[in-house]
Amino acid sequence: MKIVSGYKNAFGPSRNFTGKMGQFGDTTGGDETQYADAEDGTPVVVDTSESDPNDAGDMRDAGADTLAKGASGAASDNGGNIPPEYMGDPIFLSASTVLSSGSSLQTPNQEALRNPFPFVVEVCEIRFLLTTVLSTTGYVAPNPYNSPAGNVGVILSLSGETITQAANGIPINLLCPGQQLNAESVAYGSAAGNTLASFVGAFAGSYRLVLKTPIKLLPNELLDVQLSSLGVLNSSVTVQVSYLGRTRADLPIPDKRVLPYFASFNADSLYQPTTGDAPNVVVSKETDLQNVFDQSIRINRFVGRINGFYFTASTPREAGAPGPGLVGPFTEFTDSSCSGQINAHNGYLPGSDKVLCGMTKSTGTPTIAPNTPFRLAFDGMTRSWELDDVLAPRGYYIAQVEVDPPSENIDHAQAPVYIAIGMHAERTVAVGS
Amino acid sequence: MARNRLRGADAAAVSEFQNDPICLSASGVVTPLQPLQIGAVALQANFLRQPIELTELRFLIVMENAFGNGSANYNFQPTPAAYIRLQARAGRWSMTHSTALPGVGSGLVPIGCLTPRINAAAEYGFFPGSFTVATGIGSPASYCVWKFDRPLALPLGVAPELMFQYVPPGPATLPGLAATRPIQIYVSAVGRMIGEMPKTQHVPYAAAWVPQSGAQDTSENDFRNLTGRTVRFRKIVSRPYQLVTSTAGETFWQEFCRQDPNSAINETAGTDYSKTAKLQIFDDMGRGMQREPVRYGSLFPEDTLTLPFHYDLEHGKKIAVSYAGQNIPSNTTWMPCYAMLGSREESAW
Repeated sequence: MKIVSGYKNAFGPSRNFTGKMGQFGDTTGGDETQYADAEDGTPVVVDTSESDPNDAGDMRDAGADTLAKGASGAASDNGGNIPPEYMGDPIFLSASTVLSSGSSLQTPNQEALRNPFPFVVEVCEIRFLLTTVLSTTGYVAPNPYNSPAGNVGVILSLSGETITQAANGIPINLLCPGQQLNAESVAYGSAAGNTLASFVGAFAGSYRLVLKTPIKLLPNELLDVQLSSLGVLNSSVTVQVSYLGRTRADLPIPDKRVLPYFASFNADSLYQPTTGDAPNVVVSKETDLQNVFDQSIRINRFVGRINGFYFTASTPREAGAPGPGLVGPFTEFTDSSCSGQINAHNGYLPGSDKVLCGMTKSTGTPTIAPNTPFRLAFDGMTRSWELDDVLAPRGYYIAQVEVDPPSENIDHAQAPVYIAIGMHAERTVAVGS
Repeated sequence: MARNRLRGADAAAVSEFQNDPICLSASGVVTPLQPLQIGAVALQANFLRQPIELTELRFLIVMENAFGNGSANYNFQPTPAAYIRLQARAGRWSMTHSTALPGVGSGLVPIGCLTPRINAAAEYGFFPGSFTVATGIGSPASYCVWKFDRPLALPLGVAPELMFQYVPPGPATLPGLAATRPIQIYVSAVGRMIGEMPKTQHVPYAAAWVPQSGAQDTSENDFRNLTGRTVRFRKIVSRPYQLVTSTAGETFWQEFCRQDPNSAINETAGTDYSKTAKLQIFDDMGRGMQREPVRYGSLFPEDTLTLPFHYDLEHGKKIAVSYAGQNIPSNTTWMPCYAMLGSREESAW
């Protein structure tokens, strides 16, 4: 039997609830509530206050009532002592790992991320903090919006249930919509003047995913996370993963729960073609943005990011010469006005008006009209499109992305762009299935 | 949830599409002599099989290749949104209103005023330090979005009728090569398909005011409700555009933003509009909504440029704004734009 004494509600003692007879009562369940095991071992709230246990019995949800009475349903004199506005205590679980370029899957400390309590815990938010250090002089554009989040993949699973679809994981910047683009990635260090010069320092990227429906973790359960390098990382990246949520000792072990599901489409590197040439187009496969389950899933968001490379100061790209060999930081183009940016080191970066997209659902319904600017489909401020849709079992979206040539033949060096679309969904699964 | 009145196979076919998200888009060019009109045909709403419900309009305004290879150095970049006005209609219902734009006509709203500022760098972008055209930015762009308070329901085949006008606010010109080129406008209408039209429509509404030299207060009709319905306003958004002169000697409009290291911040007393301008808002009865004129920077803070303004304005009534300050707009170095945003309820389509 585990007793947690002196348990205090995060909001302090509750006051002034309305009881069955409309009376106002004062419960101090938050001050002196203790937890004990019921006859069958499930946690039970044991209230040691002097409040009338019959008060507010009909103000609490069924889960709390069940808990108070014990899973066996046996009545106790503890009913009514969990205030209706109980929201649990906040919890913060965190662990980190170092990811190197080309490294295989890395797993942060599992025990640090496991639910440590013998009762249900809800994970409401997942956060990622990425930090890199440039140990030698490296080149970075004066626009310090550089973050490797597009090159770090995340694989999530829960007790064997799939949460992320891709084998190598979903890029972090597809999992997380843009909250404050300026703050997603910051650079700190020293620069030789305020020009395109060598930069010695480090980058930090902060990303945050607020789950539409919190994930209920069972006692001692682990929301498993693995990280992978999806491509070129200029240097090692330290990734800190954090789960934020709240304890829900008032809830019984659920029979079913809502789990998120994330899928992605990553277009191959696209070069902006020369004026007069045809656009470069990439179409997703049916298995990219797909519902892989035999049940319907609820789509609640698309995230769209345009990523690219910067060149090194010592090896600037030659004009008109596309090709691999880029070493600079992989980053996302943050600015909308990064349209046709010409730069001796970066080459010509196609921007908002030259990256287009379209999307169709497997039912044939058009979702995004063809030739829609990418930034207008996925909001320029949040990089996301919040929506509410249902995708049938094995249904999918087909996305087409393209990079158009500039209207003028500008003497430029071509830099590749990596266009990525993430799909966020939810589904209901049985616990222990 | 809208009910589906169709039967049998039609019902099954339609219900499959009900509530599907949709993003329509269209584009065109606008010049000083040729406004751009975008409607249902351009947005391809006519190919849809369902009525739609729109939640927002998104705009991308691009001065394509404003700076070409070999042009002179620049240390500032223009804000394209400063040059564009929008007139919008949903069928017979007007969505925009303005009067104080001489020579242009009514109903044109500065497009930047349709959305609170969220992230200046992402809205129009800025780069620290000076740049040369050969190695610098080529095509400045502005991103604007009009999020509706309530979704706008439109019947089958109908889309908002949008007209974009390039208003050349003198003495500024378009920079570099952009002076000879059109401005590209891209529009997307975002929402979902619905089963049937609701009984009442919530029509978004934006009323604009751009102070002009010699007319620093609102006129009688700037913020007067002439829609025949009560308009429920929710916010006032302001965009302070300032006239800047680049190292290349060209002048153009740029949005003033302290986050922008290149924004032309002139700390000399009397020239910073956000510090010197004061505004006082009055209702239709002449009662001041503030005790005294309030500084612009307090009403419209730097991070949002938005004043929460919950006010139900009846038909025929007006809101008046009095300007109590100096140097605007007489010195023509500032062009503050204002828009009251809200919605009104109309009967069935």
